[in-house]
Amino acid sequence: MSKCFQTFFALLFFFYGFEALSKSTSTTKLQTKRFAELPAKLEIYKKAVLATYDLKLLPNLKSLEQEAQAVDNKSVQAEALLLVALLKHRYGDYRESLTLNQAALDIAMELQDPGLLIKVYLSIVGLEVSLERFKQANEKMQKIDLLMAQLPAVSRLKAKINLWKSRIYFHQGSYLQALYVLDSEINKSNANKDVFVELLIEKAKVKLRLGEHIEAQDFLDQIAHYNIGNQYQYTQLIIKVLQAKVYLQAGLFVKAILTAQDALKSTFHTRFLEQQAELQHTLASSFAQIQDYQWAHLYLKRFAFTQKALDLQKRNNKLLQLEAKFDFEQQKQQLTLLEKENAIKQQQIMQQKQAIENTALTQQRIILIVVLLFTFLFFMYWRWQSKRTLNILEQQVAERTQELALRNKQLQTLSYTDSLTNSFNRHFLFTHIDEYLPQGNFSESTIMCLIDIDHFKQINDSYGHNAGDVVLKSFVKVLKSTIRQNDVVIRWGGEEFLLIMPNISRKAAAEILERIRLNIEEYDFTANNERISVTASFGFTPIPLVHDKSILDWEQTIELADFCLYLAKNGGRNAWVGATGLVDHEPFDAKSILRDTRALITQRKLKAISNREDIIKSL
Amino acid sequence: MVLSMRYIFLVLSLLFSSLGFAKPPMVIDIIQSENFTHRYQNFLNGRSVQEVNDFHATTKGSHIEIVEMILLQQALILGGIDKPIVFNPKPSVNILEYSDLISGDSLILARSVWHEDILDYRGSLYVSEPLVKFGEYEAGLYVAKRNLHLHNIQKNQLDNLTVVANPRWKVDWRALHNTELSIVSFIGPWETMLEMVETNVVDTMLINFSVSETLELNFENRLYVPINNLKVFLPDSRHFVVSKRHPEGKAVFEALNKGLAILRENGTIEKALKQSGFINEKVTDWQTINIQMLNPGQK
Repeated sequence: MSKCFQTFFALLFFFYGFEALSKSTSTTKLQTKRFAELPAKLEIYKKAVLATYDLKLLPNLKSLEQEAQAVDNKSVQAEALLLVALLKHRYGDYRESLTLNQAALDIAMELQDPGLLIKVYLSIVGLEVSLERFKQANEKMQKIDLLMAQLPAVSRLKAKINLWKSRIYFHQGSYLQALYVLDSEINKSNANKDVFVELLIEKAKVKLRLGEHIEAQDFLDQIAHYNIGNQYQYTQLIIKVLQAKVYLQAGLFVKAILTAQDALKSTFHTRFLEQQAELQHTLASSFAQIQDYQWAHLYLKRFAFTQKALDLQKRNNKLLQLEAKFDFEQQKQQLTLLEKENAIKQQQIMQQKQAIENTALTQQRIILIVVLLFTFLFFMYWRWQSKRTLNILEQQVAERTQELALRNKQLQTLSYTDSLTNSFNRHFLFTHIDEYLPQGNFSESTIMCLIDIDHFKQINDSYGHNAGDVVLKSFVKVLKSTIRQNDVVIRWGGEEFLLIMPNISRKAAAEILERIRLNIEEYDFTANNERISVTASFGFTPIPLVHDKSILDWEQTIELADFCLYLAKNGGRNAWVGATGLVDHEPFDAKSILRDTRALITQRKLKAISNREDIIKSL
Repeated sequence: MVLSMRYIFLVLSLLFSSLGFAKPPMVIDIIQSENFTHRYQNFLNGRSVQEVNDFHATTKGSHIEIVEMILLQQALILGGIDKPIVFNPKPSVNILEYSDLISGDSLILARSVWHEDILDYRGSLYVSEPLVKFGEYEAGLYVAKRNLHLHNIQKNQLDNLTVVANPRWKVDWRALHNTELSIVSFIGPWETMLEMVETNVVDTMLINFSVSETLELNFENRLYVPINNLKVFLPDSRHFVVSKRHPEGKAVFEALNKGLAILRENGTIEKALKQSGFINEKVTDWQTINIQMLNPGQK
């Protein structure tokens, strides 16, 4: 499918292309013909200009230039411009000539044609030399030298370039340099005939300037040989000028006069002023040397006149150029000034912009810093606030915890305390008994002592339950005031108490119990303003019962202590009995000890002590 | 006054010569403005011309003119002129210079001339072998001594400088046109040109190197020095000219050339030019800023 389309478009393109081509063929053909004819036409005009320097050629040259422009043959256009410039130059319009040269230069620059560029530069060089502006002429020559490298190895232009070089040297008065250049070119002798003749003419000129008229004559002879059929008016004239000079230097004054006068005739309707002046000078010199002072004076005057005209022409053109240069310089100066001002303004604008940018940047920075600072402060505040809240919470929690702990403790205390006597209760014992039992090696022992108030029922009965309660309270008070700090009092039952004395010897325990017994006996129990006599009985057992041996647990120990209490009660009360140890070599188990306590005491297998020996003995 | 002086000099010369010699004297014309009789006599100091073999200056002022007068006479004598020689001061030249020589009214000039100036008169004048050969004549670019910044200017800085030059002095004119200097044209007395340098109208002017030890030029108590290490060569040769029309012209010219050849041969000319400061050995190593005019192929 796509292939089909491609073919279709190709055909379409071909068709329209053909159409367009066939339409334009007729005009193109015509133009091509004109384009091809132009160079030939140019050559004809060039020859005509060089031969006659006839002003009548100007319209033809101008139309040629326009024609060339119309068919875009720039090379011919430039050369036509150069020919017009040459004519204008010859007739003293240096300014117009310079403008035309400049136009030709622009074209040559555009074409980048080294040959054409050189031709234009040479034309400008001719103009500069006429105005004795050698520095400028040399500058152009330098440009030409650079372009020379681009020329083909054999080129007619090279001879022409050297011809102009020698002309500059000649006009500058550097005759040896002029000769040097000319000799190098003449020796090549591959130059075009016209150029070769011009080279020889230049050489003859230089030789005459050096006073070497014989050699100059030789060159003139050579020129005559090569120059047969030359139609160039100007060349013919120059040759005559030189010949007259040669005759003059050789002292052949009559020949000089005849030649010069003949030549002078041909200058009258032309603008060859320089040659005219030279001829007049030669004539004046010649007449003076044949002592015809009248004619000498006449020609000298004419020479002065021509020279003055020439100088005026040069001066005017130089002045014009100076003025132009001055204007240009002034414009340039103004331009530079404006440029400088602009630059300064631009710099100022840049500076302002920079300043604004800097301010904006600073502002942005400040804003950023402020924002960051606020964020930071806010963060810090937030952190501080949250920390504070946390602290408060923690504090509250701690307080609550403390409170709770206190409550717990209070609760615990409450749960462990007997409300009436403010002593511990049985619950305390069950919870904390382990803390009071001897640990590890049983080197120390704990005394478990059961205390019972004697005849308490009678007190209750006699004085009332309130009095009983008071007794119980006072009883515990006395008890607590007598025991050691670490000892614990537990209300075991109605009027029964358990005293736990950790870390104590049997003897010390006995002493404390005795002191308790005595303190109770002596204490003034008062209820309802009546003194009540109160005693108590004590039964105690150490745990462990035997050193280093755990035979009874604490409950069994209390059971054994209870038995001891029973013995004390039975023995008459207000006494204490303690089962303090077993005979070492006998093996006992707990059961047998608790079952056969009485027998074991009797058999003295179980050691028992009392404040009343009789109780033990009475068993 | 000037005229009477001139006649007294002529008469005296004739008188002296007629006393010593029987032959009529040979008259050498000298342009009156270039009449250096007084200094000439001072330099001779009683010696005869042939006796002079030391050309060092003993008087103040320009010296080359006196040396030329002596060399010319020595050459003529060596060439075989055995007549007494007298100098005849003449007022300034006519419309056409050298017209007296051309017409044969004058025989010979006391001073050498630039070759360039007599080219058109070669048909009427005999031109001697050169007294100063092409390339020998060198001059300095003199600046006011107080303009210190100009003393050591380099060749490549010369385009910033202006030089005053007289377009009638064609050789100077040409020489300067082949340098980078910007030329200010002036036609008038040499002293005025010097004044232009003094007053900074121009920076410099071309002057023969002074014979003084420092090359310094003292003119009416104003001091001038050459730009250091730079010199200009004057691109022409100098010759004596003899009238072709004068009946004695040919003989005198031949004698002159013969004598000059002898003087050249025995080194007298070179010695005279050097001792008189015309060829200044102090500037031998200085850079010639227009050397390309002498050695064209040289880069």
